[in-house]
Amino acid sequence: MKKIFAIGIVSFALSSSVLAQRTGLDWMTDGSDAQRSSWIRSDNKIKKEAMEKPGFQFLWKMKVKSDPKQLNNLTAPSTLDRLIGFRGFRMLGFFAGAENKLFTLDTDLGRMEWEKTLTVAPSTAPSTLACPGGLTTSVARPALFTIAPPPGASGGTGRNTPAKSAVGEAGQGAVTLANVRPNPPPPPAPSQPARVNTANPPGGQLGAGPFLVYALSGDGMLHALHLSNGADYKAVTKFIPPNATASGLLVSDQFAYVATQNSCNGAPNGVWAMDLETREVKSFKGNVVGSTGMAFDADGTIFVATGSGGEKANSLVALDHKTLAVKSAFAAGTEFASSPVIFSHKEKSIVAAATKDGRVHLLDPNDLSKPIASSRATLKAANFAPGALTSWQDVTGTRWILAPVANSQVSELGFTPDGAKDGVVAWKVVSENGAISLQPGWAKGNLESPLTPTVINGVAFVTSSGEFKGKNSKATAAQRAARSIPAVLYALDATTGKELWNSGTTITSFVHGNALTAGMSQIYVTTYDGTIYTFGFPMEH
Amino acid sequence: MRQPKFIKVIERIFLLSCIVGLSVVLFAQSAKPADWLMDGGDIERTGWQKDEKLLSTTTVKNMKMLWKTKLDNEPRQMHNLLPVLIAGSVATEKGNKQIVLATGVTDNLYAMDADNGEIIWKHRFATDWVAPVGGRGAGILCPGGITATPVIGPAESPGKYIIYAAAWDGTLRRLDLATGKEVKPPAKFMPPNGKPYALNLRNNVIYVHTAQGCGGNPNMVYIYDLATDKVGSWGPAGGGMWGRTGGAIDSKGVMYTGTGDGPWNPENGVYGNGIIGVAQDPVTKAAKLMDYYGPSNAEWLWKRDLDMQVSCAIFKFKGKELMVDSGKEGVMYLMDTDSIGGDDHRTPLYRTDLFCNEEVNFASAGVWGSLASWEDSSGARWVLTPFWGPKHPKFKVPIENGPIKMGAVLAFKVEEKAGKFILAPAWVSRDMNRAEPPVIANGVIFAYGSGEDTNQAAFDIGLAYNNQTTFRLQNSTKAVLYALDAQTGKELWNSGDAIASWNHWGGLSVANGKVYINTYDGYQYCFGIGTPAQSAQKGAK
Repeated sequence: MKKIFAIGIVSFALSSSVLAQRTGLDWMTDGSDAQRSSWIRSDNKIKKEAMEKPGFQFLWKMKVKSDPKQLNNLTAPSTLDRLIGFRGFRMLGFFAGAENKLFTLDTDLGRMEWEKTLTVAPSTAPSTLACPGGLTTSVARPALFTIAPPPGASGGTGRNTPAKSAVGEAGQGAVTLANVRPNPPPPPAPSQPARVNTANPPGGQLGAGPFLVYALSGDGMLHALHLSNGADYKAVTKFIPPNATASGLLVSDQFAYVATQNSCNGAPNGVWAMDLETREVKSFKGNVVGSTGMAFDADGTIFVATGSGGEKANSLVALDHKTLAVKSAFAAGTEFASSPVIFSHKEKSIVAAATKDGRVHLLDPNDLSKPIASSRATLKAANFAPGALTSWQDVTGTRWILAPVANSQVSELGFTPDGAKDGVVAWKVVSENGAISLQPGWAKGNLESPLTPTVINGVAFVTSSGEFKGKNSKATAAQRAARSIPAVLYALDATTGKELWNSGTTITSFVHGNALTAGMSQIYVTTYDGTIYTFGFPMEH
Repeated sequence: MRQPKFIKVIERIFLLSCIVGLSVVLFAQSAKPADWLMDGGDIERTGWQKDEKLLSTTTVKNMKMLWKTKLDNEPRQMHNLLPVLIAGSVATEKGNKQIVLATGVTDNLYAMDADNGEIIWKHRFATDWVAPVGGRGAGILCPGGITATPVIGPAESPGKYIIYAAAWDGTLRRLDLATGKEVKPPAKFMPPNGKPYALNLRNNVIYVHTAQGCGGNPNMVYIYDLATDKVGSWGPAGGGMWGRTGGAIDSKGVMYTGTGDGPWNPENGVYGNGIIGVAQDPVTKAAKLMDYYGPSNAEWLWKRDLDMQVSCAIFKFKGKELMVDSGKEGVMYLMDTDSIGGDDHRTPLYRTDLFCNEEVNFASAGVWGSLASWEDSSGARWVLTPFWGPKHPKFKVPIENGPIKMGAVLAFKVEEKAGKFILAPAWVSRDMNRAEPPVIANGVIFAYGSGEDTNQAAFDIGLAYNNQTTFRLQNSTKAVLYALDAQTGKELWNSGDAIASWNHWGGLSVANGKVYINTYDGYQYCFGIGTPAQSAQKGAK
C-alpha cells in the first residue's frame, strides 16, 4: 500500500501537521519554507559521500510552452515528494510561467501531469525590466510557520523490519501469537470538531491534505487549485493590484501573504495578507527588498527588510501576521539588501538579513533593538545585493549562512578569494563565551551572477546563472539575454566549499531569479528559454 | 516349439481380461467427476481445470445460468463471498453428491448441491469480532472475518473430505465437507484479525501468507504441519503478501509469493516488492527462506506503490519447472524455480515489456489477483494474465479483439528462442470492466469483468474516496462472465445481464460443465451446459 507499517501509516494519517507540510523535505514556497532557509534537511541519496562518487547526474529536461516576459520565464517549482492521487503515486513539481501559465510535472518521469493557463484580466500596462508584468512569484503549497528541526535519526519503517524464520511449540501456533495484545479501547471522541485549516482543508491524502496549491496571476488574483489536476478549488479572489511585481507568495493556515516591489504600475510596495475565510486584504506599505519577500518566525510573526523611502525605511520590520501592524523594527542606518532568513540556534530563533554595506545582521526576533551580532567587514561601495540568504545547520550543530556575492566583494568581506568571477560565501555562526559572532567560513568563486544557494543534506548547490547583469541600466531584456551565457550548477561540500560535482555544459541557457529548488533527491533549474532541467541520482523505472 | 492349445486359450482369456479391466479402469477414471479443491484449482495456482469434459469451444455457446442462490452472508466493507471450491463426488448420508463450498467473509461456510444450488449445510464460526483499533483498524483493506479461501483435502476414507479454514480469530478449523461438522477442535495457528490469503495444502502441510498489517499483525508466511501441530513462520515482508489466490507451491515444496509494497534490501533481510520462496524445514518445521528475486526497478515499484501482489503460477515446460508472476506495474516475469532470480537474485529468465498501466496508477491499472497457465493439445504452454485499464499503446499483440479501455485478459505463449525461454504475446481479449483472473477448461478461457469501482482516490477528496466505501459501492456496476477461445481470445459467449451485481475478491471456479461466480449482493451463480435447475427457473432462493 510500515514500523509496523500499519501503525505508522495511521499515526501519519492522524498527524495533521505532518500532512499539512512534511517539513524540511518539500519545497513549499520561495526559499523552501516560511523561514526562507533554502535548506532541505535530509535526503536519502544526496549526501557528501555520495556526491564524491559517480552517480549524480542530469536526469531529464523539458521545454514547456512558456515565453519570457522581460527576463522572467519559469519560476522555481514548489515540490511534493509524494501525492497519493487519483492517477497514482506522484512526485510533483509545480512550475509557473510568466504568461500566467502553470505546469505541473511528474518529476520522476519528466512527464507533464497537468498544465493550465490562468484566466486573467487583459492588461495594457507597460512591461519593463523591473515591472515585467504577468506572473512573478512561484506557486505556493500551504506551509507551516513551524521551524523544522535539523535532521535526526530516522525511525525507519516497519517495512524495513528484517524477516525472521521461526517455529512455535506444538499446539501453540505461530510465535507471532505471543505478540498479540488486547484490542485497545477506541480513542475518545473529540469534545469539539477539529478546526479546519482554511489553506489546506481536509480531504486530501489519507483524508486530510495537502491537496491545494496557490498561484498569484498577473492581474493580482489569487488562485486556489487542486494540486492533483489543477481544477479550481474556489473562485479566484482579488489579492493585490494588477501588474505588480510580487515575490514570496506564502499560504499558511488562514492567510495568504505576498510582497510587492518596484512600485509597478501604481501598485504600492509592501506586504499583503489575505484572510482566506473573510477575503479581507490588509497591507503594510514599505519598500520591501530581497527576492523571497518576507520570512516568518514560528509564532507567525512576519519579518521583512526594507530599503530607502516608504514606511520603516532601511529597517528589519516585525509585523503581526493577522493585522500586519508593526510590532517592532531595527533600523540599520543603511538599506537592506536581502530578504530575512530565520533559523533556530540553540533553541532560540534568530532572524538574519544583509545590508547593502555587506554586513549580515543577526537579531533576536523578540528584541529588535539591536543586533545580537553583525558581520564586521563592510564594503566600500555599499553595493551588496544577495537578494536572499541561505541558512543551514551541519551535523556538529554549526549554523551556516550563505550568500551570493560579486567577485570584488569576496575579499572585502573577509573571505579568501576563489577565482576571478562572482561567487558564494559562507559564514559560520559561532558562539563563544556566551557571545555570538559571524565568522567567514568558505568562498566558492568563478561563478557568473550566482543564485541564492540551496543546501540539501550537507551539500550546497550553487548556480552560476550566466545572466548578464551589466551596469548599463538602459540595456533591454533582449540585449541582456543575448549577452548572457549558459548556466552551470555546482554541488559543494557545504562545510568547506569543496566542489563535488558540476553540470558542465548540460544547461544551454541562462537563468534569472530564484530558479533553483529541490526535493527528494532531485534538484531543478529553470532557464530563460522555458526549459526545466532536473539533476539527481537515476532510478530505473 | 508350438504351444499347447489350452495355453493359447488361457492367454487369450487373460489378454481379454486385461483389456476389459483396463477399459473399466479408464471408464471409471473418465467418469470420475472433476474437483476444484483450492483457489486456483491446484497447488501451483494454474487456474486450469484439466478434467473438464462438457465445456468446450463448441458447446460453450449453449451456456446459460443454471441456478443462483442467495446466501445470507453479510458483506463487510466491499467483501462478501470468496471463490467456491468443488468436490465432484462426496459421500453423504443421501449418497454421493457434487458439493460446492462457498465461504463468506462474515465467518460463514455453505455447502451447496452443485446440481441445483440448494444449501446442504451452513456453518458459522462463533465470533465476537469487533473492529480492531490497532494497525489499519477496520477498513476496506482489513475487513476482518474470513479472508482466506479454505482448502479441501482428502479424509481417511474415499469420498470423504476435510475442509481446512482459517477463522477470523486466526485458528485453523477442520470440518467434514459432507456434514459441516468440525472434526477437530480449533487449533492455534496465527494472530486474530489478520488478513490471510487463500490456503494451500501439500503433503499434510497448510501454507498461507498474510498482508496489510491487519489487526496490527506483521505480514508473514505461516506453515502449519498437520502431523505435529507445529506452525512455522517467516517474515515480515513488505506491505504484505497479497496474491489473491495465495502462495503457489512447486514440486520441491517451496511456496512462492510476491511480497507487496516495501523496500528491497535483502542484505538486511528486507524483501519488499520482490518474490520470495519459503519452505518448511522438514526437521524443525520452521518456515525458511529458500530463494528470492527482486526486480531491478524495485525502488521505483516501491516509490510508486506498484506492488508485486499477484499470485504466481507454476508449470512444467521442456523439462524445467517454470513460474510466472506479475504486479501492478504491468510486466510479467518468467522464472526457473531452480533459481528464480539467478545468481544475483535480480535476473529472471525473461521479463516482458510493459503491457498496461502507462499511467503508473497504483489503484485502477496493472495486474491484480492471479495468473493462469495451461497446455494445449499440441503441447504449447500458455500463460494468461488479467489486467486493469488500457493496454499499453506500445505493446503489440498478434491478435487483438477490440479496443481496451477498462481491462482485458492477455495471453502469452512460452517459447524457447536461441536457447532462452521467453513469453511471446499471443492474443488479448475484448474489453472487460476490471478483468479478473481467468480459469481454463478444455480449451475455453473463462474470465469476467468484476464491475467493481477500483478507484482509491479522487482529485478533490484524495484517499477519502477509498476510506468511505460508499463511493465505491455506489459507483460499482455489475459483473459479466465471458467465455473465450483459448487459442485466439475470441469471445464465444457472455453472460449479458444475467449477473445483477459486481464483486470484489470473488473469483471463478470450474468443474463438470459448470462455472461459478459470486457477487457482492450475496448471490452465488452457476452457469453451465444443461437444463436450468428448478430453483433458477423460479429465481433467487
